[in-house]
Amino acid sequence: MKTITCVLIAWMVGAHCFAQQRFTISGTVTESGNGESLPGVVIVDLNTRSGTATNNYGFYSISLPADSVTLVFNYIGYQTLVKRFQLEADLFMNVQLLAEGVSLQEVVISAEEQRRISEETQMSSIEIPVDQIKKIPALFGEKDVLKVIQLLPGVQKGGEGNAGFYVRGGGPDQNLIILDDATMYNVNHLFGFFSLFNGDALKSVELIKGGFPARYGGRLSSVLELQMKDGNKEKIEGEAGIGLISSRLTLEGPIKKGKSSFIVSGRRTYIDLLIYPFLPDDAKSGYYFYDFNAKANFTLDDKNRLFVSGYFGQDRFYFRPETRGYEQRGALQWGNATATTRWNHVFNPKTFANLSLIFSRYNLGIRLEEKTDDFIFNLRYNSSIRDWSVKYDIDYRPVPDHSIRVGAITTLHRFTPSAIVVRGTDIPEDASSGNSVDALESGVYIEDDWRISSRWKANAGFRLSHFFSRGTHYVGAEPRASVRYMLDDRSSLKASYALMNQYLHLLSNTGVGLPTDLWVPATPQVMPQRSQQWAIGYARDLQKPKVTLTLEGYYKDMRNIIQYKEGASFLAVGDLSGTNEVPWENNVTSGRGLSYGAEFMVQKKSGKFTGWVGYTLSWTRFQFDSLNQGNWFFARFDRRHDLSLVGIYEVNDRLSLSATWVYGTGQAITLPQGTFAFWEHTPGASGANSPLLLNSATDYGNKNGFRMEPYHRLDIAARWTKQLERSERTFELGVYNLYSRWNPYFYYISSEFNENTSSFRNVLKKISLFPILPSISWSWKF
Amino acid sequence: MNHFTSRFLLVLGACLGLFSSSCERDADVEVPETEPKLSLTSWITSGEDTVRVFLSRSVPTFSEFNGTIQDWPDADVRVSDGTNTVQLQFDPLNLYYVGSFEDSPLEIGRTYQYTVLVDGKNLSAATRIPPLAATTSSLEASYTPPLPNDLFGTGVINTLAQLNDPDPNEFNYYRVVFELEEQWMETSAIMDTRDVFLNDAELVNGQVSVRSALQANTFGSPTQTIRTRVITASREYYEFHRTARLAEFSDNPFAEPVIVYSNVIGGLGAVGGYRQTVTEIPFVR
Repeated sequence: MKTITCVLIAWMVGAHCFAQQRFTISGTVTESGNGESLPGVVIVDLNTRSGTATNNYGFYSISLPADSVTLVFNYIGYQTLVKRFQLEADLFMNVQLLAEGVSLQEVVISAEEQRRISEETQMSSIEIPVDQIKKIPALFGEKDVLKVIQLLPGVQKGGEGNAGFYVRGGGPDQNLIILDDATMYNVNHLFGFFSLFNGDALKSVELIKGGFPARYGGRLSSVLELQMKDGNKEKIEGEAGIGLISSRLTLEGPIKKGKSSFIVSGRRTYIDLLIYPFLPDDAKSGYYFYDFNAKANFTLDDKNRLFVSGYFGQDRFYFRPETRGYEQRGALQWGNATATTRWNHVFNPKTFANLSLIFSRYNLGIRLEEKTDDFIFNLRYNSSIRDWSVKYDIDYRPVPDHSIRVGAITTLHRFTPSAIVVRGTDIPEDASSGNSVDALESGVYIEDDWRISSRWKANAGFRLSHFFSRGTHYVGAEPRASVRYMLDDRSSLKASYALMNQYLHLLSNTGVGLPTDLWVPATPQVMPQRSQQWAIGYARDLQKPKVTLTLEGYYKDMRNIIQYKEGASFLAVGDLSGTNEVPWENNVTSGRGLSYGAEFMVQKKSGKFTGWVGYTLSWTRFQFDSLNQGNWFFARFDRRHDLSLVGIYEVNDRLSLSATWVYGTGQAITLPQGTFAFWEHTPGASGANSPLLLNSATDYGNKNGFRMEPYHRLDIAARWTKQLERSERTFELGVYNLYSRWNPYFYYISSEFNENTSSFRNVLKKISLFPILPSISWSWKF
Repeated sequence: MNHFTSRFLLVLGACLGLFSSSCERDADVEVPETEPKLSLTSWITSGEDTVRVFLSRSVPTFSEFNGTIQDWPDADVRVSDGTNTVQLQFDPLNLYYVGSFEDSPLEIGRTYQYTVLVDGKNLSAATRIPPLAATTSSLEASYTPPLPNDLFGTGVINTLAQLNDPDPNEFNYYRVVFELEEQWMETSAIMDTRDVFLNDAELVNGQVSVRSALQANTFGSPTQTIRTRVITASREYYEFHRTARLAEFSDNPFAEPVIVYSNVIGGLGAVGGYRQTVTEIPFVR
C-alpha cells in the first residue's frame, strides 16, 4: 500500500513539475454560425505531435511547451482549421469550425491531419454522423438511429422492422442507452417498429461495444450515447417534415444572442386521426405516438454553462366503441420522460467539471371504464420505473500525456411493477394493490488516457459499483483497460478488457420490446448480471481512398443472465413485494452466456461517396441448469454471418442516392420435431398388472435447434434538395425491401388433410411483414 | 389485469395477423428430419420383481399421420441390475414389455441399466431407486364452500402436508400427489387429484409445507378421504414427470416451449426409480 502511495505521489509531483515548463491552451470548439458545441474534435500540435480531443461539451485542454505552436482542429464533416501562434502564457481560446460546404470566412489551411481511428485507444466504438443517418433509407421513410445502429458490425437486430438491438451476444436489456445523461428504459415506439429518437434533435450518436471506459457502468453489452443539439445561438431556424405515418417540427434559436439558445422538436403519428372517422361506431379505436424534445443552454460566463433538457414521449392504443346504453373506454399507454440539468464549470485551464441532476421515468398504464345506466366499473393499472440521479464528473488534463477523469453517480430507482386501483358499483370500497420497491445504485470511477510513448497509449480505469435493495448489498469491482500500439503512422494493434456488472434485469418474453416488458432489481435470489469481455483488434487508416479499416475479435463471458423458465411468461408474473402467489423470481432462471466472434468494417466518412461495409462472424450460446436439460444452446439472436453494405452517393449539391443491403443468418428457434407417446406413472395404480396410463408429448429436440431462413433485404432512397433564397426543401423517395424478399417474421405449423391417404400432414408456414414498401417524405429547413 | 393485457395482445395479434395475412406462404427452409425417434419409458420401485417397459416410435411433425400409435413387438429389451440380466417379453394385450427378477426383487440404492436393440438401433438408460423414502409428518384439510352464485356448487378442500427430508446427505426429489376419494355405499372413487413437484432446494430445516386445493362438489358424498402419496423419486423420474406435466398444461403462446426431460441415450423418454409412502385422513365436509 505504501509503495502504491509513493508511486502515486511521485507520479503526481512529476506530472506537476513537468507541467511547470509548459502553458495550457483551453477553450471550447463550436460550429460556426450556430454556436453548437462539438464533441470529439481532434486537436493536434504539429510541432510536438501532442494531441487531445474535445469532451462531450466541446471543451478541450492541451499543455504545450512555450514555443511556436501549430494547432490543427479536425472534425468529420467540418473544414480543418489550423491556428499558428507563439505560446508564451496560458491561453483561453474558443474556436469555431465551419461545416463543409460553407464558404470560408477566415484563413484556413488544409492539413493532412485527420481524426485517425488507428490512433485512438478506444476500440469497439463507432460514431455515426447524424447527417449520415438522415440519408440512409428507412422503413416508411422514418429515419431511425437505432435502425442504423443495427447496420454496424457486432450489432444484430431483433426481428423484421424491429428497433431492438443485440450487441455481441447481449440482450436489449444489456444496452445502456443514454440521452443527455438520462437512461432510457424502453426505446421503442409501436412495439419496436420505430425508436423514440427524433434525428432532427440529435447532435451526436456513439456506440461502444467493448473496452468500456470506467465512466460507464450498469449494463453488460453496450453503451449508446446520444446527445441532443444545443440550439442555434445566432439565429432562429427550423425544420419541418411530413412523412407517410408521422410529421415533425423542430425550432431552435437564441434566447440571448451568442449567450443562450433553445431547441424544441416534436413528432406525432396521425394514422389514427385519418382513419377514426371511417371506423364503425362499435369499433372505434386507434393508435398514435408522439415525442417531444426540448433543450435550453445558457453560457453564464467563460467558466460556467448550464444546460436544461428533456424528453417526453408516449405511445397510446385506445378504444371507445359507441354503443347505445353502454359506454366503454379503454387505453393502453406507455412512454418515457426524462429531464436533465447540467452545469459545466471550468475550474482552471486543466480542469473541467460537470454536475448533472437527472430524472428518468418509464411508465405503462392501462385504463378501462365501463358504464351502463346502473353499473360502473373503473380499472387503473400502472407499472413504472423512476430514477433520480446525481452525477459529477471531472476532466483533469495535467500534462498532454495524461487525461484523467474521475466521477461519481448515484441513482435512486423506484420500481412499481404493478399498481392497480379498481372502483365500481359492485365494489363497496376502492380496491387497490401494488407496492413500490426502492433501490440505490451508485458508482465511482477513475480513468486515465495515458500516452505512454509515441507508439503506446493506454486507457486504464477502475469503477466501483454498489447496489442496495431490500436489505441486500452488492458491491462490484470493475477494472477496465484498453491499450494501443502503433505499427506505423496509420495502423495499430489494440486490445481491451472490461468487467461489467448489471443490477437491473428485464423480464421479457418476446424480445421485441413490448411495453409489458418489466424492469426489476437484482435480489438475493436473482443475482446481478456480470460480464467479462476481452477484445483484440487491428485498425488502419488508408490514405487513398480515405477509408478506415477495423478488424476485431472478441470473447465475452456473461454470468447470471436471466431467462424465463420453460412454460413461464410475464402473464404469470407476480409483484416484487412477494404478496402474490407467483413472485417473479420463481418464473426466471439464471445462467451463463458465451459470445465470441470477429468483426470487420471498412468505413468511408468523407467525400462524394460515403458508407461502410460491415461483416460479423459470431457465436452466442447459453447454458441454464433449468433450460434444455442443462445443455448449451444457441441464443435466439445467434447469427453466424451478418453483413451490411451501406452507401451514400452525393451526385451533386441537389441529389443524393443511398442504398443498404443486409444479410443475416436466420434466427435460432425451437420447432417441434415430433410427437411421442409415453407411459406416465400413476402413483395410485394398483399392482404390476394394472394398465399403463399413456400420454403424449412434443419432441422439440434441442432448444433453438432450428434455423429460420436467412434474412436479406435491399433498401434504396433518393433525396432531392432545392436551395431556396432563405430555406431548403428536401424531397425523398425511398423503397424498403426493393426486391420484395419474403423474410419470415414468425413461423407456424398448419395441418393439411390428404384425402387419398386419409392422413394429415403438417406444413411449415411463414408470415412476412413487409414486402416491397415505397415511401415518400418531404422536409423544409428554414 | 392479465385478462386485459391478453385482450390487448390478442387485438394486437389480430391486427398484425390481418396486416400480414396477405404475406403468408410456405416456409422456404428445410424442415427438421422426418425419421421417427424411439421412445422408452419405465418406472421401477423397490420390493417389486416386475419391470415394465413401454416402447414407442415418435411421429415426426412433418410426416403424414393417420392417428394410430404404432407398437413395437420385435425389440430386444433387457434390464440388468449389475448381476442379473432379464430379457423382457412383449405383452400384445397391454402393448408393453415385461420381465421379472424372480430371484432378486428390485432393491433400493441399486442402479438398473436398460438396453434396447431394434432395427439396428440402440437405446440405453439407467436409474436408481432412492435409498430412503420421505414421509409426511402431518396432513390437514379445511373446506371452503362454493360461492353463492356458483351453479356447479364446486367447493375447495385446502390441504396442507408437512414433508420431512428422508436423507439430508442426499439431494432428493419429490412428487406429492393429493387425492380426494369419496365413498358411496360399498364403493369409492377418486374425485380429484393434484400433483406438486418439489426438491430439497425448497426445504427449510429438512421440512416443507406442501399445499394443494382439491375441488369438491357439494353434490358429492360428505364422507371423504384425503390422501397424500409422497413419491421420493430419482432425478430422472422427477424431471421427466415435471416437464411432461408442464408441457401438457403450457398453452401460453408467449411462453418458451417446454422440452421434456430424457435420460435415454439415443432416444426419447426416461426410466426412473421411486419409492412411495401414503398418508390419509378421513374428512367430513
